Order: sequence, then structure tokens, then C-alpha cells
Amino acid sequence: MPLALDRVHKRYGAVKVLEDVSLALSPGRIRALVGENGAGKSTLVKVACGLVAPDEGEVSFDEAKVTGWSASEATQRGVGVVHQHFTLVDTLSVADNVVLGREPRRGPFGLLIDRDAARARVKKLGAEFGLEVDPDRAAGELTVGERQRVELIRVLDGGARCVLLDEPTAVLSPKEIRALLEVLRSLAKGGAALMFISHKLDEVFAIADDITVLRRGRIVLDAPARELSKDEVARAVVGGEVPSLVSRRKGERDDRVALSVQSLACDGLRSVSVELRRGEVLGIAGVEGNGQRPLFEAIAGTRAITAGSVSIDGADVTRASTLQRRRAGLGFVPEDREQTGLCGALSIAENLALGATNAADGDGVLARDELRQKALAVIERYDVRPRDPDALVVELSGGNAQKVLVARELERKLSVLLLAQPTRGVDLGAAAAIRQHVIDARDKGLAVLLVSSELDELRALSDRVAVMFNGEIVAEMPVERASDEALGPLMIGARPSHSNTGADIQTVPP
Amino acid sequence: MKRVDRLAPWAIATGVSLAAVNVAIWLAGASPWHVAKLAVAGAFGSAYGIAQTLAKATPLALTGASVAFALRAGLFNVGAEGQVAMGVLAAALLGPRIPASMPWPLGVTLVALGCALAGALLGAVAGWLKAARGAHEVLTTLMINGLTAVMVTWLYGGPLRFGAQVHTAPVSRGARIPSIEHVLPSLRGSALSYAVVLALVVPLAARWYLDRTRGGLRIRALGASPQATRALGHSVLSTTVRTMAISGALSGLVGVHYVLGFKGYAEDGLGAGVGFAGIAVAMLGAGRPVATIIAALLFGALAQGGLSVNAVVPSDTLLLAQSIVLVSVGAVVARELRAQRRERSR
Repeated sequence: MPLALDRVHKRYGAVKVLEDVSLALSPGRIRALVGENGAGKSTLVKVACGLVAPDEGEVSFDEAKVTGWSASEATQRGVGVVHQHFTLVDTLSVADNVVLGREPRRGPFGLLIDRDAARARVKKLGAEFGLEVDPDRAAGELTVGERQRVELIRVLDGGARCVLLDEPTAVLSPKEIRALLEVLRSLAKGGAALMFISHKLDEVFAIADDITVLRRGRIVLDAPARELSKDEVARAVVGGEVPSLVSRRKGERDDRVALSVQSLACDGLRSVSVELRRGEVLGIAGVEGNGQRPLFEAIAGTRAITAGSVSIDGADVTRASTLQRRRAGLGFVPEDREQTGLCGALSIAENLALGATNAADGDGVLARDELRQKALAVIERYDVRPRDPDALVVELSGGNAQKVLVARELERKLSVLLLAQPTRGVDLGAAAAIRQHVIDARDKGLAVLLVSSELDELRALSDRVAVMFNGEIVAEMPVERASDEALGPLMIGARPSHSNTGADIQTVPP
Repeated sequence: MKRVDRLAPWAIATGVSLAAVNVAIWLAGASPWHVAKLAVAGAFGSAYGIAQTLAKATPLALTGASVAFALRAGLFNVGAEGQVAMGVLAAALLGPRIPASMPWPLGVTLVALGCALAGALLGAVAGWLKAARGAHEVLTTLMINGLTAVMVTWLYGGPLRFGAQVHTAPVSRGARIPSIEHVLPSLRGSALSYAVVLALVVPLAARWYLDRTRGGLRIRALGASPQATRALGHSVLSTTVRTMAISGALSGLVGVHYVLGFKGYAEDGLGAGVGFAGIAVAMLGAGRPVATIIAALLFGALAQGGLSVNAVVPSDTLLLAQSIVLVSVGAVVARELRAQRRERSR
């Protein structure tokens, strides 16, 4: 047992984050750690790698009790962590990042860094585990997937025999995820003990040998993966039945166009045309950074455009301000929930009040009791916790904050909703609730433009799926055709050809 | 966090400040106990001392509220100094032009509006430069402070000079705030006037506006997240300009205290320093109106008490006390902010 936690307790103030958690990692096996937001997963990883000291219980390594388990000791003994937020120095090269703190030396008195040796180390590890990165590129130029590979190489270069990964797939495209899972498999084969956190049961079952489910700080399920079913795990995560993801339309579709975008171009966006009818959901698939964000911001009016037009319900809003667009019935749930979506330092009630379009001007006295009542109604309807309209948004968990943001938009009279990454970092239960609210609004005639890096979610909500690549929509297809196989190549730039993706795909001429 | 946990760092900060000041006094060759007695006696030991303390606290409460107001929008208004100078100038210009027959509450209100408007103009310029041109408000307000200082020096020594005097024309009777010494004769000679009411009302009113009105909510939203403000379609430009204008107006009101309440005219150097001291008051008050008033009182008392210890140690010793208080309070506030961030990041 390289790493074992024995009856670990951890509390922050009055909140018990971990209760009586025992866990052991064994060489050659991959353990998946699953649970809702706030279940204690990240804390568990921090305890295991010595960043956080447990209140009670022990952490041991190689059967030896480790007293005063600390981050440096953990590293020395071979525990490596790939955190959710990367820790590379952007201006240094890949090789320099990898060897930082333990540079190979050369020259008189070892004064110089032996860059050739550093490069060789990166290349050797890369070849061994399929982690290929150019050692001379600056870390800042790398894609998210490449950065993660560098983090892994760094951990391995430090001699880690036990690797902990905190939500490693959250930021990756499907292809990158497959590659990462391959790497993890080959690491395990080489004898390393692995543990990774994930919200996605598909990949958990694809790769994990053991599955541990954490719920409110306690281990509620811990068994070899082959003895478990997805349903069992999902139920353990939520603590009950999981609401189904798919909801097909009730009633007729409306033919009136709600959103029309013609040849829209701006910084990061080449020329995009989109037409969306009332009660329709168009999902946009694509690797992040291919123009999704500029597209949404250009439609919302927060990014200057260079060409094209936007109209909402037939009214041209190309020259309208963001506020005028919102008054015309446009809603916007940006992907950056914390900064662009909400005002963290303000209360739930205040955030909801700010969404009202008449809040944008005038100096009238706030009807605070009325705002609180309204907020309380929203809190009930969306099951936001805590049930306190005066709670600051910054204190809410990701899922609850996202509910507030979605509610702020949906609780207005809307024609079109721009919905970006609606359930990113949101646990299963909250994600299902958020999707249900969007679907209910769609059934009442709301047109939704959806961006999500989760293809399952995209397929569950959308009527049509478009693929964005390099600032353009390169293909569009009905949802029935939008399989991983069809979308995958398009997302990384393969030009659609009618022979292998089906006649229903319309290619958008460049 | 429990209340005790919250208060403990403040107690430590106070203890550290007291100890440091005492050591400084001891190094200066005096008895700390003696000096403390003198200072307290000077600031609170007589009706006159208390009146002087209150009078010194009045402008500080206003500039403190002014700086704190802008901070709620995430703007650091270090231009209170210049905005005070503009308020004083406005009072000096308008005061003599009010008919002597006008009832003083009306005349004072008119002049006060002028003071607020003058400060607001100066603040609005910095706000506009920030939101429309991207010039950082700390730099622009500091520059404007310098410009204003030079301008008023020239005006008071030249165009606005009143005959052979080195000050401006006296304010008309219709715009003079009666001195409190008419009610309490023992306060004869003190600078205290009914302008002290402003020091009580303005911090509370500013907080009320921020908490209870739509305009205030937008200001706080801007402070919480400029990106969210933009995405919601609220104007960052107009909110920034409005915030800085209101902040400037609060500082401008200081002119009422000095010109209409205390001196009856303006002269070079009148009100100098209270703008910068307002930054310290705002830091200590941390946006809470009552705390802002108490912080203003503390600094007022230190300034007044400093005068009576002058014979034993330099009055700068108490200036040193101010600085030490600020540093230790800064440490406490930084610690609290760090703790809050830790809570959030969990």
C-alpha cells in the first residue's frame, strides 16, 4: 500500500468535511473518486498529498505511519498531484517547468542548468507514457490538454509512484480525454498507484479498477468497478434516484425565428450565421477556444463586431446596446460564472434584482422586502441552498451559484437564451435540475443557443448540433446524427465530407 | 466565525499600537504615562478640548465617508484632498454673495450645494478618465490634487485676496453657521459649529444610498464584478462617473465646515491634509458608517491631544500613533480578507 488514509476526520469550523474516511491506494490500480460538489473530494486529495492536516486519523505511506505528513514529505516519498488549476510558469519552457526545483546541473560548481539533460528527461518520460510535448515550447503557448500533460510529466519526473488527479478531464476535449485515459492506463501498468476525481461516470467505468463515492464527507460506496453498475454509483452520489437527462419536446414546434445571426464576425470569430426558432435548442460542439465565447459575447453585445447582423424576434439589434438587447428578450448565462455571471460579493436577492432590466437605471429606493420575497420564491423553485435570500453568492457551492444565475435569466420574459457550459463543475443533482428548468422554458417557446463541452448534455438538450472550429461553424446536423464519431473529427478540424458523415450534414461554405 | 474570534485581532492590533507608541515616547525621553494623561486631557479633559476634538473629526468623517463610498465600487479615490480644496473654494466664492438678510439655514444649504457640486465635478472628471479612457483613478486623482492645490494658492494670494488680508472676502451673514459658543459659552474660541451634524448624517446617508437604492446596488455590483456589470448591460461608464461624483461631493462638503462654520473665509492651506487622512479613516471604518465616525473621532482626538503634548514630546509622536494604528489595522484587515478568501476557495 503506497498511500493509505486511516479514519481521517477533517472539519472547517462547524462543517464536517471528512468523516471517518479510510482509503488505500495500491500499485498498479486506478481508483476513481466520485461525489457531488462539496462532498469533500478535493479536501481528501489535499489531505492525502499533505497540503491539509487531518484533525483525526492517520496518513501512512509504505506501511510506515507518517507523523506530521507534510507537502514536502509527500513529494519526497513519491506522492504527486495534478491539481485542477494548473501551476505551470507560462514564460518558462516545458523542460524548464518540468525540472523546476530539481534542475540537472553542469559546468563548474554545477552553476549552469543542463538543458540537454532536462530535454532528454522530458522526451524519455513522454515516450514511455505517451505524453508527447515539445520540451522547448513556452508553457503559455500550450493548449489545456498539453499543459496537463506537462503537469503529469513533472509529477513523474519527481519520481512519483502515487499520482492524484483532481478532475483531470473537466477541461479536455473528448479526444484529449481518450488520450489521457490511455496515459493513466499505461502508468498503472508501470506500477503506479493512481486516484482521480471525476463527475463523468462514463470515463470512471472506462478506466477505474476501484470506485469510491463520497457523500457529505463520508464514504458511502467503495468497491471494485466490475462489481458496480453506473446506476448504483449515480444513486450513491446523489443519495437517491437520479433524474433522467433526456426530455423530448412536448407539443408542436413554432416556426417563428427567435434569433437570427447573419455573417457575424469579430475578434476570434470569422463569419457565423445561425438561425434559431422559438422553442428550439441549437447545441454548439467544439473544443474550447474555437470562437464559442466570442460568438456569445458578440450576440450579447459585450464584444465589438466587425461585420454581420443580429436580430431578436425579427427586430434588428446589431447596433443595440447590451441593455437594449436584454430588453428585447435576450438572456445570457456566460461560462465564467464567478466573474461575468454573478456578483459574488452581493446577496442572492441582490443578484436576482440586478438581472431585471429596469434595474439598470434610476435611483429609486429598493423594495427590499419584495426582493427578498421574490428571491425566496426562486430559492424554493430552484432548490437553492442555503434558503437565505441574504446569503452572499460567493459563499454558495458551484451548483447553487449556477442555479441562481440560470434563475436570474429564466425568471424574466425571454425569447432567446445564450447558455454556456450550464452544468460545468456542477454536481449530478443540480445539473439535472438546471437542465430541467431549461427544458421547461424551451417547451414554453424559449429559443436556446447552447455551448457545452459535455457532448452527452449537448445531445440531451439540443434539436440540432453545430460544430465550431477556428471561429467558424463548420457543420450542422440534426441531433440524431451527432454521435461522438461524427462530431470528433469535425471538432479538431477535419472538413466534413458527405461520404462518411451522412447526407444530413450541411457544410457551411467558408 | 465567533464574535470573540473576530474581535481578538482588533484587540491585538490596539495593544500593539499602544505598546509601540509608548516605546516611541519613552525613546523620546518622556514618561509614556504622563504623555498619555496630557493627550487625553487635551482631547477630552475640558469642554473646549472635546469641542476641538469634534471640530477636527468633522472633516475627517466626511472625507472618510467619501473614500469609503468610492471603495464600494472598487474605486480608490485618493483625490479627496483636491475635492476638499474645491469645496472650500466654492464656499469662498459663493459665501460672500449670499444676501445677508437670507435666513442662515437657507443660505448655508445653497452654499453647501455649491461645495458638493464643486467636489463632484472634480470627482466626475477622474471617473470619466477611468471609465472612458482607462486612466487609473489613483494617478488621475493625485494629479488633480496637485493642480487644485496650485490653483487655489494662486487664487487666494491673487484674484480672490480681500484687500490687505491674506484671505478671501468674508462670508455673508446669511451663509454663516452660528457657532456653538452662543449656546455653550465655555466653547469660546473652538472651531466647533453645527456643521458637526454633517459628520453624523453624511456617513449614514451614504451607506443608506448604497444599501437601499437601485443606484447604490449598481455601484456595489460594479465593485463586485465589472465584467458582470457589463454582461448585464449596466453602464460601467455612467456608474463609475456617478460614484466618483458622489464621492467627490461628500469631500466637497468639507468646505461648509471650514468656511461657513469655522473661519468665515478661505485661505491657503485651509483643509489641507484632511483628504489624505480620510483614506486612513475609511480604512479603519471599513465601509461601516458608525465605525467611520468613530475612526474620525479617534484621529480628531489624536490631532487635538497632539497639541497638548507638544511641550513634552513633539506632537509628531501622536502622528506616529496614527501611522502605527493604520499599519496594525491594515494587518488585521488583510488577515480577515485572507481568511475570507480561504473560506471561499473551499
